[in-house]
Amino acid sequence: MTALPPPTAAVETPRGRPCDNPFRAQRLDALSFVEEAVRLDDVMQVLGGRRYRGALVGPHGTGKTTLLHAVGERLIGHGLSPMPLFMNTDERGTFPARWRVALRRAGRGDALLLDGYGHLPAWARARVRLTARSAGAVVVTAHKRCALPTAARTASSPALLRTLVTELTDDATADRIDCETLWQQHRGNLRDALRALYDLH
Amino acid sequence: MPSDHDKLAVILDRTVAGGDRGYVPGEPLTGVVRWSLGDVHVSFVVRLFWRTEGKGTADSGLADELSFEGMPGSGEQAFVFEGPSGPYSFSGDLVSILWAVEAIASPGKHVARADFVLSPTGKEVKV
Repeated sequence: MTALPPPTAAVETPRGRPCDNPFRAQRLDALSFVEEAVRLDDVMQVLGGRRYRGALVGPHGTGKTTLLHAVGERLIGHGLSPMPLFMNTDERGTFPARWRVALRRAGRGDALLLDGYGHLPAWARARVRLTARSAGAVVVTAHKRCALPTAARTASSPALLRTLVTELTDDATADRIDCETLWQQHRGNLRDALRALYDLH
Repeated sequence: MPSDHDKLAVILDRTVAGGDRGYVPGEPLTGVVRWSLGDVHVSFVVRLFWRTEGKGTADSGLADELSFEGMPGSGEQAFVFEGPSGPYSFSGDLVSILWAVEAIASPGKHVARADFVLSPTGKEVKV
C-alpha cells in the first residue's frame, strides 16, 4: 500500500521569473498617482497661487514621489521643463554636488522637483530656497512641514493599497490579499507593503 | 488608430547558433528598424543594452549605440551590432538580467524594443 503524504506537506511550486513578478520594483516605480486623499487639480491650484513653490508633505510610502512626478507632468503644460533631483538614502544629511550644480543652472523655464528636500541639513535647505529664486517652479517633498508652503498632505489607506494591488495584478488577485492587515503591518507605507507582496507572489 | 508598434518596430533576425530568440556571446546581432511616423524627417537611436528587473534597484548597461539622422518619415533601416560577451541572460529569486535592442525615434519620442536571450546555450540561465 502506498503511504499518503502528510496533510501539511508543502506543495512546491516553481517560482516565477523576477522580471514577470507583478510587484517588481520597476512596476512599482511606474505606478501613476491615484487621487484619493489628494486631488492633483487642487495641488496645482495651490501651487499656482504661490508662484509654483510648495511642499508635498507626508509620511514614508504615501505617494509623495509619485505625486511629485504627476506635478512635473502638469508643469510641462505650463511651459516649464521639469528638473527632477532625487536624494538617495545614503546621502541624507548632505548637500549632493549634483543638486548644487542643478540649482545654480535652474532658470525661469525650469521646474525644480526636489525629492528628499526634507533630508537636507537646515543650512542646505536655506541655500536651496535662496539659489532657486530664479527657477520657474520649486516643488519639494518632505516628511513634515517645512519653510516652503504646504501644497498637499499625502496619506494612505487600505483602500488605496487595494487599488494599487488591483492595478498591478487584477481584481481576483486583490481579493486574495488581506490589504487591511498588510497596510497595518507596514504602518501605512504603501511601497513597503507592495514590496512585501513580491515575495508572496 | 495605429498602435506604437505600427509606427516603430525593432525586428531581430533569428539566429541559427542560439535557436529562436537566443544569441550566444560574441554572435553578431542583426535586424531592422521599421518606422512609419508620417510626413516628417525622423532621427533615431538604436541601442543594445541589458537591464535588471526584480525586487531591488534597477541597473543597466549600454553595450553599443547607433544613430540615424534626417531619415524619411517612413522606412526601414538594417543594423548590425557586434555581439556582446555578457552578462548572460539570467533569472534568480531576486533579479532577472534582460538583453534588448531598443529604438527611440523623434520627434514624438516613440520607443520600440525587442528582447532577446544571451547565453552560451541560447537559453536564459536559471538559478
